[in-house]
Amino acid sequence: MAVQIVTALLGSLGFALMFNLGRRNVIPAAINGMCTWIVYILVRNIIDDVFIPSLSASLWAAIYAEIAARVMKAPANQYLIVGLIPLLPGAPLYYTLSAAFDSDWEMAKNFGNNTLLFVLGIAVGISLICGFDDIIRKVCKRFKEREKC
Amino acid sequence: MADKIRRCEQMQQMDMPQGNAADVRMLDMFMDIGAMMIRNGSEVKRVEDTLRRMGAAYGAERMDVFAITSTLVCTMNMPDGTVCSMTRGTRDGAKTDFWKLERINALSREYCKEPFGMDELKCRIDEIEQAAAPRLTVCVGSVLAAGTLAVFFGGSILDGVAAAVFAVGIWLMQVYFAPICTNNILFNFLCSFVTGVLIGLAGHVLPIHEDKVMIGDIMLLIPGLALTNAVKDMFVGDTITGSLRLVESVLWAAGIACGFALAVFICR
Repeated sequence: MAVQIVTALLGSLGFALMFNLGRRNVIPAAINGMCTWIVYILVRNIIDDVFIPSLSASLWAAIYAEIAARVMKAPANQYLIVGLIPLLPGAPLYYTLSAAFDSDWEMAKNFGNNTLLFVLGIAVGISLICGFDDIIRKVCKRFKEREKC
Repeated sequence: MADKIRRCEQMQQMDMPQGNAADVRMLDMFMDIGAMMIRNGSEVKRVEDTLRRMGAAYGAERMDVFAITSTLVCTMNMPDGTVCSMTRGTRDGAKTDFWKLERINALSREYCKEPFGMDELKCRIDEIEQAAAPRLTVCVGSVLAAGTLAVFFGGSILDGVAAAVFAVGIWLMQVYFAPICTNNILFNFLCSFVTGVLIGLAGHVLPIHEDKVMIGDIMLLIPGLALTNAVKDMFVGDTITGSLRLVESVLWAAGIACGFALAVFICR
Protein backbone atom coordinates (compact mmCIF):
# COMPACT_ATOMS: atom_id res chain seq x y z
CA MET A 1 0.00 0.00 0.00
CA ALA A 2 2.87 2.36 0.87
CA VAL A 3 4.35 1.51 -2.53
CA GLN A 4 1.09 2.49 -4.20
CA ILE A 5 0.94 5.82 -2.40
CA VAL A 6 4.52 6.70 -3.32
CA THR A 7 4.07 5.63 -6.94
CA ALA A 8 0.80 7.57 -7.15
CA LEU A 9 2.71 10.67 -6.07
CA LEU A 10 5.52 10.08 -8.57
CA GLY A 11 3.13 9.14 -11.38
CA SER A 12 1.16 12.35 -10.89
CA LEU A 13 4.42 14.25 -10.77
CA GLY A 14 5.36 12.71 -14.12
CA PHE A 15 2.09 13.83 -15.66
CA ALA A 16 2.51 17.28 -14.15
CA LEU A 17 5.84 17.54 -15.97
CA MET A 18 4.32 16.11 -19.17
CA PHE A 19 1.56 18.73 -19.26
CA ASN A 20 4.16 21.40 -18.51
CA LEU A 21 2.53 22.88 -15.43
CA GLY A 22 4.23 26.01 -14.18
CA ARG A 23 7.09 25.34 -11.82
CA ARG A 24 5.17 26.47 -8.75
CA ASN A 25 2.15 24.30 -9.62
CA VAL A 26 3.94 20.98 -10.07
CA ILE A 27 4.17 20.05 -6.39
CA PRO A 28 0.60 20.97 -5.33
CA ALA A 29 -0.78 19.05 -8.31
CA ALA A 30 1.31 15.95 -7.59
CA ILE A 31 0.25 16.01 -3.94
CA ASN A 32 -3.36 16.07 -5.12
CA GLY A 33 -2.70 12.82 -6.99
CA MET A 34 -1.30 11.16 -3.87
CA CYS A 35 -4.16 12.38 -1.64
CA THR A 36 -6.74 11.20 -4.16
CA TRP A 37 -5.35 7.71 -3.99
CA ILE A 38 -5.20 7.79 -0.17
CA VAL A 39 -8.89 8.78 -0.09
CA TYR A 40 -9.66 5.95 -2.49
CA ILE A 41 -7.88 3.39 -0.31
CA LEU A 42 -9.49 4.67 2.91
CA VAL A 43 -12.99 4.57 1.51
CA ARG A 44 -12.43 1.18 -0.09
CA ASN A 45 -11.50 -0.21 3.32
CA ILE A 46 -14.94 0.77 4.58
CA ILE A 47 -17.04 0.02 1.50
CA ASP A 48 -15.72 -2.79 -0.65
CA ASP A 49 -16.89 -1.50 -4.01
CA VAL A 50 -15.55 0.42 -7.00
CA PHE A 51 -18.08 3.17 -7.58
CA ILE A 52 -18.33 4.76 -4.10
CA PRO A 53 -14.53 4.92 -3.50
CA SER A 54 -13.81 6.36 -6.94
CA LEU A 55 -16.65 8.85 -6.49
CA SER A 56 -15.32 10.05 -3.13
CA ALA A 57 -11.77 10.20 -4.45
CA SER A 58 -12.80 12.32 -7.43
CA LEU A 59 -14.89 14.55 -5.13
CA TRP A 60 -11.77 15.08 -3.08
CA ALA A 61 -9.64 15.80 -6.17
CA ALA A 62 -12.13 18.39 -7.44
CA ILE A 63 -12.44 20.14 -4.06
CA TYR A 64 -8.66 20.22 -3.66
CA ALA A 65 -8.32 21.61 -7.20
CA GLU A 66 -10.80 24.43 -6.55
CA ILE A 67 -9.10 25.37 -3.28
CA ALA A 68 -5.63 25.20 -4.82
CA ALA A 69 -6.84 27.37 -7.70
CA ARG A 70 -8.08 30.04 -5.28
CA VAL A 71 -4.88 29.95 -3.24
CA MET A 72 -2.46 29.93 -6.18
CA LYS A 73 -4.64 32.15 -8.44
CA ALA A 74 -4.29 29.73 -11.37
CA PRO A 75 -6.81 27.69 -13.43
CA ALA A 76 -8.28 24.80 -11.45
CA ASN A 77 -8.23 22.38 -14.36
CA GLN A 78 -4.52 21.60 -14.11
CA TYR A 79 -4.71 20.45 -10.49
CA LEU A 80 -7.82 18.41 -11.22
CA ILE A 81 -6.45 16.56 -14.22
CA VAL A 82 -3.15 15.65 -12.59
CA GLY A 83 -4.97 14.68 -9.40
CA LEU A 84 -7.23 12.26 -11.23
CA ILE A 85 -4.37 10.32 -12.85
CA PRO A 86 -4.24 7.47 -10.28
CA LEU A 87 -7.99 6.94 -10.72
CA LEU A 88 -7.85 6.47 -14.50
CA PRO A 89 -8.73 2.82 -15.10
CA GLY A 90 -5.70 1.79 -17.16
CA ALA A 91 -5.43 -1.69 -15.69
CA PRO A 92 -9.15 -2.63 -15.85
CA LEU A 93 -9.26 -1.40 -19.46
CA TYR A 94 -6.28 -3.54 -20.40
CA TYR A 95 -7.61 -6.66 -18.68
CA THR A 96 -11.05 -6.18 -20.23
CA LEU A 97 -9.51 -6.29 -23.67
CA SER A 98 -7.14 -9.10 -23.00
CA ALA A 99 -9.98 -11.20 -21.58
CA ALA A 100 -12.14 -10.35 -24.58
CA PHE A 101 -9.30 -11.47 -26.85
CA ASP A 102 -9.16 -14.81 -25.04
CA SER A 103 -12.96 -15.08 -25.47
CA ASP A 104 -13.26 -15.22 -21.68
CA TRP A 105 -16.51 -13.24 -21.63
CA GLU A 106 -17.17 -13.69 -17.92
CA MET A 107 -13.86 -11.98 -17.04
CA ALA A 108 -14.30 -9.37 -19.76
CA LYS A 109 -17.70 -8.50 -18.34
CA ASN A 110 -16.31 -8.12 -14.82
CA PHE A 111 -13.38 -5.94 -15.83
CA GLY A 112 -15.48 -3.94 -18.28
CA ASN A 113 -17.95 -3.28 -15.47
CA ASN A 114 -15.08 -2.08 -13.28
CA THR A 115 -13.78 0.25 -15.98
CA LEU A 116 -17.20 1.80 -16.50
CA LEU A 117 -17.78 2.23 -12.76
CA PHE A 118 -14.42 3.98 -12.37
CA VAL A 119 -15.19 6.39 -15.20
CA LEU A 120 -18.72 6.97 -13.91
CA GLY A 121 -17.44 7.68 -10.40
CA ILE A 122 -14.95 10.23 -11.73
CA ALA A 123 -17.57 11.89 -13.94
CA VAL A 124 -20.18 12.20 -11.19
CA GLY A 125 -17.61 13.54 -8.73
CA ILE A 126 -16.36 16.25 -11.08
CA SER A 127 -19.87 17.27 -12.11
CA LEU A 128 -21.10 17.60 -8.53
CA ILE A 129 -18.24 19.87 -7.48
CA CYS A 130 -18.51 21.83 -10.72
CA GLY A 131 -22.19 22.52 -10.00
CA PHE A 132 -21.76 23.36 -6.32
CA ASP A 133 -18.81 25.62 -7.10
CA ASP A 134 -21.04 27.63 -9.42
CA ILE A 135 -23.76 27.96 -6.76
CA ILE A 136 -21.30 28.97 -4.03
CA ARG A 137 -19.71 31.57 -6.29
CA LYS A 138 -23.09 33.10 -7.13
CA VAL A 139 -24.21 33.16 -3.48
CA CYS A 140 -20.97 34.89 -2.46
CA LYS A 141 -21.43 37.46 -5.23
CA ARG A 142 -24.98 38.21 -4.08
CA PHE A 143 -23.85 38.67 -0.47
CA LYS A 144 -21.14 41.08 -1.55
CA GLU A 145 -23.62 43.11 -3.58
CA ARG A 146 -25.97 43.31 -0.62
CA GLU A 147 -23.17 44.59 1.63
CA LYS A 148 -22.45 47.37 -0.83
CA CYS A 149 -26.06 48.54 -0.87
CA MET B 1 -13.38 56.65 -61.92
CA ALA B 2 -11.55 56.44 -58.62
CA ASP B 3 -14.18 58.67 -57.12
CA LYS B 4 -16.91 56.36 -58.27
CA ILE B 5 -15.23 53.32 -56.75
CA ARG B 6 -14.72 55.13 -53.49
CA ARG B 7 -18.35 56.15 -53.35
CA CYS B 8 -19.35 52.58 -54.07
CA GLU B 9 -17.25 51.38 -51.15
CA GLN B 10 -18.76 53.96 -48.88
CA MET B 11 -22.24 52.88 -49.87
CA GLN B 12 -21.37 49.29 -49.11
CA GLN B 13 -20.05 50.19 -45.72
CA MET B 14 -23.24 52.02 -44.91
CA ASP B 15 -25.29 49.02 -45.92
CA MET B 16 -23.28 46.63 -43.79
CA PRO B 17 -21.81 48.35 -40.76
CA GLN B 18 -18.47 46.65 -40.32
CA GLY B 19 -15.95 47.32 -37.65
CA ASN B 20 -13.10 49.70 -38.34
CA ALA B 21 -9.62 48.34 -38.91
CA ALA B 22 -8.54 48.71 -35.29
CA ASP B 23 -11.48 46.72 -33.99
CA VAL B 24 -10.89 43.96 -36.50
CA ARG B 25 -7.26 43.71 -35.49
CA MET B 26 -8.25 43.56 -31.86
CA LEU B 27 -10.78 40.81 -32.52
CA ASP B 28 -8.09 38.92 -34.41
CA MET B 29 -5.94 38.98 -31.29
CA PHE B 30 -8.84 37.86 -29.12
CA MET B 31 -9.29 34.94 -31.50
CA ASP B 32 -5.62 34.08 -31.11
CA ILE B 33 -6.09 33.96 -27.37
CA GLY B 34 -9.23 31.85 -27.58
CA ALA B 35 -7.72 29.39 -30.04
CA MET B 36 -4.61 29.02 -27.91
CA MET B 37 -6.75 28.29 -24.85
CA ILE B 38 -8.74 25.58 -26.61
CA ARG B 39 -5.63 23.94 -28.04
CA ASN B 40 -3.93 23.81 -24.66
CA GLY B 41 -6.70 22.04 -22.80
CA SER B 42 -9.15 24.62 -21.52
CA GLU B 43 -12.89 24.10 -21.15
CA VAL B 44 -14.92 26.10 -23.66
CA LYS B 45 -16.88 27.83 -20.91
CA ARG B 46 -13.65 29.37 -19.76
CA VAL B 47 -12.74 30.49 -23.29
CA GLU B 48 -16.11 32.17 -23.73
CA ASP B 49 -15.82 33.84 -20.35
CA THR B 50 -12.30 35.14 -20.98
CA LEU B 51 -13.15 36.56 -24.41
CA ARG B 52 -16.31 38.21 -23.10
CA ARG B 53 -14.43 39.91 -20.27
CA MET B 54 -11.58 41.04 -22.50
CA GLY B 55 -14.04 42.39 -25.05
CA ALA B 56 -15.83 44.35 -22.36
CA ALA B 57 -12.50 45.74 -21.15
CA TYR B 58 -11.66 46.80 -24.71
CA GLY B 59 -14.94 48.68 -24.88
CA ALA B 60 -17.25 46.41 -26.83
CA GLU B 61 -20.93 46.74 -26.14
CA ARG B 62 -21.43 43.02 -26.32
CA MET B 63 -19.42 39.95 -27.22
CA ASP B 64 -21.06 36.79 -28.49
CA VAL B 65 -18.76 33.81 -28.40
CA PHE B 66 -19.42 30.32 -29.67
CA ALA B 67 -16.72 27.72 -29.20
CA ILE B 68 -16.54 24.02 -29.91
CA THR B 69 -13.40 21.92 -30.03
CA SER B 70 -12.63 22.64 -33.68
CA THR B 71 -14.12 26.09 -34.28
CA LEU B 72 -14.25 29.42 -32.53
CA VAL B 73 -16.79 32.04 -33.63
CA CYS B 74 -16.96 35.50 -32.13
CA THR B 75 -18.98 38.61 -32.88
CA MET B 76 -18.14 41.95 -31.34
CA ASN B 77 -20.66 44.83 -31.24
CA MET B 78 -19.09 48.23 -30.74
CA PRO B 79 -20.93 51.17 -29.13
CA ASP B 80 -20.86 53.13 -32.43
CA GLY B 81 -23.05 50.50 -34.06
CA THR B 82 -20.39 48.68 -36.04
CA VAL B 83 -20.16 44.92 -35.85
CA CYS B 84 -17.25 42.65 -36.60
CA SER B 85 -17.29 38.92 -36.65
CA MET B 86 -14.64 36.25 -37.11
CA THR B 87 -14.29 32.49 -37.29
CA ARG B 88 -11.18 30.53 -36.46
CA GLY B 89 -10.41 26.84 -36.87
CA THR B 90 -8.61 25.44 -33.86
CA ARG B 91 -7.72 21.95 -34.94
CA ASP B 92 -3.94 22.00 -34.81
CA GLY B 93 -3.44 19.07 -32.49
CA ALA B 94 -0.89 20.79 -30.29
CA LYS B 95 0.23 19.15 -27.07
CA THR B 96 -1.44 20.29 -23.88
CA ASP B 97 0.60 22.95 -22.15
CA PHE B 98 -0.84 24.23 -18.89
CA TRP B 99 1.90 26.79 -18.43
CA LYS B 100 0.70 28.60 -21.54
CA LEU B 101 -2.84 28.45 -20.23
CA GLU B 102 -1.84 29.96 -16.94
CA ARG B 103 0.04 32.78 -18.59
CA ILE B 104 -2.92 33.55 -20.87
CA ASN B 105 -5.08 33.62 -17.78
CA ALA B 106 -2.74 36.08 -16.09
CA LEU B 107 -2.59 38.19 -19.26
CA SER B 108 -6.37 38.43 -19.52
CA ARG B 109 -6.71 39.33 -15.84
CA GLU B 110 -4.17 42.07 -16.26
CA TYR B 111 -5.86 43.32 -19.41
CA CYS B 112 -9.29 43.40 -17.79
CA LYS B 113 -7.96 45.38 -14.86
CA GLU B 114 -6.20 47.93 -16.99
CA PRO B 115 -6.42 47.60 -20.80
CA PHE B 116 -3.14 48.25 -22.53
CA GLY B 117 -2.28 49.11 -26.12
CA MET B 118 -2.73 46.90 -29.12
CA ASP B 119 0.95 46.51 -29.90
CA GLU B 120 1.82 45.50 -26.37
CA LEU B 121 -0.99 42.94 -26.34
CA LYS B 122 0.20 41.51 -29.67
CA CYS B 123 3.72 41.34 -28.31
CA ARG B 124 2.63 39.52 -25.15
CA ILE B 125 0.49 37.01 -27.09
CA ASP B 126 3.36 36.19 -29.44
CA GLU B 127 5.67 35.73 -26.51
CA ILE B 128 3.32 33.19 -24.93
CA GLU B 129 2.62 31.39 -28.20
CA GLN B 130 6.25 30.92 -29.11
CA ALA B 131 7.36 29.60 -25.73
CA ALA B 132 7.36 25.85 -26.39
CA ALA B 133 7.38 23.33 -23.57
CA PRO B 134 10.94 22.20 -22.82
CA ARG B 135 11.26 18.85 -24.56
CA LEU B 136 13.44 17.34 -21.89
CA THR B 137 10.88 18.04 -19.17
CA VAL B 138 8.17 16.31 -21.18
CA CYS B 139 10.47 13.33 -21.75
CA VAL B 140 11.39 13.08 -18.07
CA GLY B 141 7.69 13.38 -17.19
CA SER B 142 6.70 10.53 -19.54
CA VAL B 143 9.48 8.29 -18.25
CA LEU B 144 8.60 8.99 -14.62
CA ALA B 145 4.86 8.56 -15.16
CA ALA B 146 5.08 5.30 -17.13
CA GLY B 147 7.70 3.77 -14.83
CA THR B 148 5.95 4.52 -11.57
CA LEU B 149 2.45 3.73 -12.83
CA ALA B 150 3.60 0.28 -13.99
CA VAL B 151 4.68 -0.33 -10.38
CA PHE B 152 1.48 1.33 -9.13
CA PHE B 153 -0.67 -1.23 -10.92
CA GLY B 154 1.23 -4.09 -9.32
CA GLY B 155 4.39 -4.57 -11.38
CA SER B 156 7.87 -5.26 -10.05
CA ILE B 157 10.75 -2.77 -10.11
CA LEU B 158 12.03 -4.33 -13.33
CA ASP B 159 8.62 -3.80 -14.94
CA GLY B 160 8.82 -0.16 -13.95
CA VAL B 161 12.24 0.20 -15.55
CA ALA B 162 11.05 -1.49 -18.74
CA ALA B 163 7.96 0.74 -18.93
CA ALA B 164 10.19 3.78 -18.43
CA VAL B 165 12.42 2.70 -21.33
CA PHE B 166 9.45 2.18 -23.66
CA ALA B 167 8.05 5.55 -22.56
CA VAL B 168 11.05 7.14 -24.27
CA GLY B 169 9.91 5.41 -27.45
CA ILE B 170 6.40 6.81 -27.08
CA TRP B 171 7.83 10.26 -26.44
CA LEU B 172 10.00 10.03 -29.58
CA MET B 173 6.95 9.05 -31.62
CA GLN B 174 4.94 11.93 -30.15
CA VAL B 175 7.67 14.41 -31.04
CA TYR B 176 8.73 13.17 -34.49
CA PHE B 177 5.88 11.05 -35.84
CA ALA B 178 2.82 12.95 -34.58
CA PRO B 179 3.47 16.03 -36.80
CA ILE B 180 3.46 13.75 -39.86
CA CYS B 181 0.48 11.67 -38.76
CA THR B 182 -2.16 14.28 -38.04
CA ASN B 183 -4.97 11.76 -37.66
CA ASN B 184 -5.17 11.25 -33.92
CA ILE B 185 -6.93 7.89 -33.94
CA LEU B 186 -4.48 6.44 -36.42
CA PHE B 187 -1.55 7.87 -34.50
CA ASN B 188 -2.75 6.35 -31.23
CA PHE B 189 -3.33 3.02 -32.95
CA LEU B 190 0.13 2.91 -34.58
CA CYS B 191 1.88 4.22 -31.49
CA SER B 192 0.33 1.62 -29.21
CA PHE B 193 0.82 -1.13 -31.78
CA VAL B 194 4.55 -0.45 -32.16
CA THR B 195 5.02 -0.11 -28.40
CA GLY B 196 3.00 -3.27 -27.80
CA VAL B 197 5.08 -5.30 -30.28
CA LEU B 198 8.34 -4.06 -28.75
CA ILE B 199 7.15 -4.92 -25.25
CA GLY B 200 5.98 -8.32 -26.45
CA LEU B 201 9.38 -9.05 -28.00
CA ALA B 202 11.16 -7.85 -24.86
CA GLY B 203 8.90 -10.15 -22.84
CA HIS B 204 10.36 -13.17 -24.65
CA VAL B 205 13.88 -12.19 -23.58
CA LEU B 206 13.54 -10.47 -20.22
CA PRO B 207 11.71 -11.71 -17.11
CA ILE B 208 9.10 -8.94 -17.13
CA HIS B 209 5.32 -9.02 -16.73
CA GLU B 210 4.24 -7.81 -20.14
CA ASP B 211 0.78 -6.80 -18.95
CA LYS B 212 2.07 -4.45 -16.25
CA VAL B 213 4.58 -2.81 -18.59
CA MET B 214 1.87 -2.28 -21.19
CA ILE B 215 -0.50 -0.80 -18.61
CA GLY B 216 2.18 1.69 -17.56
CA ASP B 217 2.63 2.80 -21.15
CA ILE B 218 -1.12 2.80 -21.90
CA MET B 219 -1.55 5.38 -19.14
CA LEU B 220 0.56 7.84 -21.16
CA LEU B 221 -1.78 7.58 -24.14
CA ILE B 222 -5.17 7.41 -22.40
CA PRO B 223 -7.11 10.62 -23.15
CA GLY B 224 -7.69 11.53 -19.51
CA LEU B 225 -7.64 15.25 -20.20
CA ALA B 226 -10.19 15.05 -23.02
CA LEU B 227 -12.45 12.86 -20.92
CA THR B 228 -12.32 15.18 -17.91
CA ASN B 229 -13.00 18.22 -20.05
CA ALA B 230 -15.83 16.40 -21.83
CA VAL B 231 -17.57 15.72 -18.53
CA LYS B 232 -17.08 19.26 -17.31
CA ASP B 233 -18.26 20.80 -20.59
CA MET B 234 -21.35 18.66 -20.68
CA PHE B 235 -22.28 19.42 -17.11
CA VAL B 236 -22.04 23.20 -17.43
CA GLY B 237 -24.32 23.16 -20.46
CA ASP B 238 -21.92 22.99 -23.42
CA THR B 239 -23.50 19.73 -24.45
CA ILE B 240 -22.33 19.86 -28.06
CA THR B 241 -18.69 20.40 -27.15
CA GLY B 242 -18.88 17.82 -24.39
CA SER B 243 -20.33 15.13 -26.61
CA LEU B 244 -17.83 15.91 -29.40
CA ARG B 245 -14.97 15.52 -26.97
CA LEU B 246 -16.47 12.40 -25.42
CA VAL B 247 -16.87 10.68 -28.79
CA GLU B 248 -13.36 11.78 -29.73
CA SER B 249 -11.81 10.37 -26.57
CA VAL B 250 -13.72 7.10 -26.84
CA LEU B 251 -12.43 6.73 -30.41
CA TRP B 252 -8.86 7.42 -29.24
CA ALA B 253 -9.23 4.86 -26.49
CA ALA B 254 -10.55 2.36 -29.04
CA GLY B 255 -7.50 3.05 -31.22
CA ILE B 256 -5.15 2.44 -28.29
CA ALA B 257 -7.00 -0.71 -27.29
CA CYS B 258 -6.92 -2.15 -30.82
CA GLY B 259 -3.21 -1.37 -31.17
CA PHE B 260 -2.20 -3.12 -27.98
CA ALA B 261 -4.60 -6.02 -28.52
CA LEU B 262 -3.21 -6.65 -32.00
CA ALA B 263 0.36 -6.49 -30.66
CA VAL B 264 -0.43 -9.03 -27.93
CA PHE B 265 -2.07 -11.27 -30.51
CA ILE B 266 0.97 -11.16 -32.81
CA CYS B 267 3.59 -11.65 -30.11
CA ARG B 268 1.92 -14.62 -28.52
